[in-house]
Amino acid sequence: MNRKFQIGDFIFRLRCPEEVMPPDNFMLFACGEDAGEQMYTYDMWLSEKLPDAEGKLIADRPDLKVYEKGGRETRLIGVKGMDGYYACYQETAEERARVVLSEAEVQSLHFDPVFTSLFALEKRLASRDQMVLHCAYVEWKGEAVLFSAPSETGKTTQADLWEKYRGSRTINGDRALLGKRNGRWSAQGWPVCGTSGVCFNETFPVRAVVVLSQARGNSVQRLTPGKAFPLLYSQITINKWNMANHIHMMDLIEELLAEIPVFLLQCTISENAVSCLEGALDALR
Amino acid sequence: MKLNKLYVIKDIAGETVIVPTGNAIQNFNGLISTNEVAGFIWKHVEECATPDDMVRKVLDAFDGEPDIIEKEVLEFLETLKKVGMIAY
Repeated sequence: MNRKFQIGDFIFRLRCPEEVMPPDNFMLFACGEDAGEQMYTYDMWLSEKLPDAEGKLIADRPDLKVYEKGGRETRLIGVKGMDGYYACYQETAEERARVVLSEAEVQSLHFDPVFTSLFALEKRLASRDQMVLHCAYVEWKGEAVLFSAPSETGKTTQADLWEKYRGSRTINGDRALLGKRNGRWSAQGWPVCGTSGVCFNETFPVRAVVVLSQARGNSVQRLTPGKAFPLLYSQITINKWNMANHIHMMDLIEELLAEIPVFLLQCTISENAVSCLEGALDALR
Repeated sequence: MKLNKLYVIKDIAGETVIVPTGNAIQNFNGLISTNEVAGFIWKHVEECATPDDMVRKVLDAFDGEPDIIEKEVLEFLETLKKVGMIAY
């Protein structure tokens, strides 16, 4: 394969052997050669053995090791709960990286997060003022409503209730890429969608972020930016091992909070929960 | 007294949070939401040579029972020191 892709504002070329088949959701982001200026190139190939990583170890998690040398990163990428690594990502030039894949693990590349992790996309996008929010991304009346919460809180459940009772449409069941389009914060598609299986590459201006909390009744309150910051900070992908990147992301969250309303919805699984939030969203107009 | 520069303070519309960055996330991966007094202390740590200087600064800036303020400020500074957020 030798194709261009566009995720958010980031346009890149992927060159990889035919045995490597990007997942269907990733292919939603393939674009034509005339899409715009290519910003980055990834060269991917298969190998029996992954190369040795060089440099200073700056992040050490069970599923990821990050090394830094001369301002460039090398990452050994694995899967949580499994031994070893399936890929080695190495930045080889300012706008180029090579990704060596373990031949033994090529079958697992059809899983969205396994494949998408090969590109250090969060790093590329952060430098373009974009960030990934853990949320169910719902389109309602031409705008994005983003249900955010830790896993198992009920993001998909609330998104489904909105679809059932208000005719909304889920664009991504687990993630949205946030960035400014024409001066307005917008939600964009993302090639990973968790267990929801719902993944579209579509962009809508953001109406509100809704932080969910399970409760016995339904109530909604608009949060001040100061109260909303810790809640969003915990649900946004941040490379904390890179201090400059980390601080930039915090500034970006602050900028988002200055412009986008954030609600705390304490809710049950009911139409009343939908009505409760709808009233607050309508009041924004 | 000195701040550990790996902890970054952010003021967001009147709320203050302290966020560990870089290697500090090995000890604590999250953020600390502070009240007004804690935020004040953090912002003025480097202006104070000793914990007693900070007690005086807090007493000048906030109303309250002096003995209680002194006890709580000293305890808070000791906690920050123990977790490596400040040194003195």
